[in-house]
Amino acid sequence: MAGILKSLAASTAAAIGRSDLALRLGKSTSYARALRNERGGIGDKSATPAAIYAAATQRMDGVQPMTFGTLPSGEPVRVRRDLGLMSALILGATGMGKSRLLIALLLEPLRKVIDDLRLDTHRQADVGVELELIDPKFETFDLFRKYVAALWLGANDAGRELLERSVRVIDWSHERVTPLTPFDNHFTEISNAYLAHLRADVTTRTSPQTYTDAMRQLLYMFDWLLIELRYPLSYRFAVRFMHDTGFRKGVLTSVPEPEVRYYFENFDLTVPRQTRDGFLRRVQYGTSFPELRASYIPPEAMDKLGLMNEAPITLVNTACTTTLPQALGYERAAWRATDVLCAAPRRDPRRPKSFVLEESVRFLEDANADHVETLLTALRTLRSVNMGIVLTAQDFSNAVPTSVVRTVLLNTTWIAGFRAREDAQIFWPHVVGVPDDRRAESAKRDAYLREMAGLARQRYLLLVKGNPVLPLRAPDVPKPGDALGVSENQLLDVFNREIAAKSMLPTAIAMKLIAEWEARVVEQGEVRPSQTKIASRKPSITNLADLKRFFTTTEEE
Amino acid sequence: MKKLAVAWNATLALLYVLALPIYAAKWLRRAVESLFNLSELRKGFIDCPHCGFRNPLDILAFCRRCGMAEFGSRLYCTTCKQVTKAFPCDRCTAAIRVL
Repeated sequence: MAGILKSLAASTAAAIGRSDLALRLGKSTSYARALRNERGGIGDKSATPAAIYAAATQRMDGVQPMTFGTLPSGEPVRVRRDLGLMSALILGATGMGKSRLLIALLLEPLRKVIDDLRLDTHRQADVGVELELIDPKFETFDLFRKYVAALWLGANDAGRELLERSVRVIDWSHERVTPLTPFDNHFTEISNAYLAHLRADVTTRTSPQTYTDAMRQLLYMFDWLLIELRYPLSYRFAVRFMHDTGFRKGVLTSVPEPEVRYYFENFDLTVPRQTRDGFLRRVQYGTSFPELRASYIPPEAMDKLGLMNEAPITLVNTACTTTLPQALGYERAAWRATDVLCAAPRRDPRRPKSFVLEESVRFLEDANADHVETLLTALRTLRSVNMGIVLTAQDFSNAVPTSVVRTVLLNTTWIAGFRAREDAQIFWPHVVGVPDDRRAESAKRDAYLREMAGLARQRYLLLVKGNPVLPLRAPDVPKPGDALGVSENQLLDVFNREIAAKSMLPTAIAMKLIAEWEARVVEQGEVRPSQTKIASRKPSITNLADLKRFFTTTEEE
Repeated sequence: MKKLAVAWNATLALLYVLALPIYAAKWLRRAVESLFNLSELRKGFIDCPHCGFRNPLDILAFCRRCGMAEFGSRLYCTTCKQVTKAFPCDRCTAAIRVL
């Protein structure tokens, strides 16, 4: 009866030209039909779930497979590497096994390379897969480094040597720090102005303090100045530059960019004193924590240190929750992420790369931020350079803006869902039903949501686009030291000594380098010509006459 | 002056009466068209007039106005209430006008 009434109402609405009302009245029918259409692609309705899973497993298997887990029947599910390393989303509540799944997947290719080297020490050693892991919550970073240490302990000399030159660590603590040079433009195709914009945008969006328009402009121009001069972020330099007119004029003589020079030459007229003071307070806050201050090594000193700059595997720990303000860790995570993603379009596509961003909700929550736009563009485009982006998140559907959710869901190739109620909606249309289940669609859906809300640890749903959802048990990941019988502290010692030491330096040395730079540049006012200027003055020698001229002028100088 | 006003109103009334059958016919045509469209919508698919591909109307649809993704009719967004009158064919991308 209700159906007939609804149909009549819809016809009347259509007759009076209100198609929207007619469509609204048919909403529930459209929803049910859309679900049916979606599932139409899953397989034969009369087939059993086991048969559908077996067919899907067969479709996903292939060259260099990665083990994603086991089906309820105990059959392992392997996904070919080119599919497994594409962009993905791992969802679920905390402690449900997201990080363990990630580690199982990421370690598999590395473990295989080390095992192969053990069998044949003369083979060409290469890690095969590149990895960038940014972890703002420490847990995955910590686990991963222990597994790498365990791999190092179990490897032969060739394997150890490979690990030592392939793993870079970005971390900072009381004892040692990885030097960072965020104001040094390594990119060939990104202008100093755009790099300054990226840095300033991240800082203003991640900072717990507010930035007025004038202060944001000042931050942008100051970042641009540092990039032009290849200077580190230093509170002492900022104070003297803002307050000492003579010093400022001296510094500006070596800035090649007229836009920057013009802005700071008229600084006293255009920037109010309150803005300057507020800006300096923010710089002081950002550099007041010794671990962070020590990481702002002058780029010129960094060149001489000989530390590992880039490596196929980079582990980044930006967790600050308990030791430092979280916003500062987030700022560095966003800087690193934009650096990697901006450089990605020009990478060598022969070696696949996986970019893993843990706890991505915090990163994605501001849809207007430039680093979010960069990440979303990367999700859409980096397939062409063989790079996949893996995001892990909790409460993704609610905490992230709808437009971002939509872009991420459209551009990820596979989605794994651990225990979660809200995110379970993503999988529902692709869930395989039992053929003789006669319950209403809503009853089936409610039962499914209840099941997802109480899913056991290590159990998850895997949705590879174009396939039905597979209910899996994630691979078992034994404790890192178990096989070798060593404690976790011993593993950490090995990691710090053999691997991290190649890319980190003691905090005391870093502080000394910074103090030397400040004494020279800030106290004595020594200003070196910028790199750009040096590059422009570099003579080009193409013939004998040029060579003669070069030696003559050098002698005169 | 008063006579002029009466004459004006009478002319207007006459015009309305004369136009009535035209408007009634127009409304009837629209009503028939809308009912026909509704019956098409009820079938749940539209055949592309260009390539003949059968396009389902109820799918995982994205609203072009607010960006919402939902299972339902591709012609109507339940979030922003936008009604889409035409959509591109899934196979040949030719525009198919439905409403």
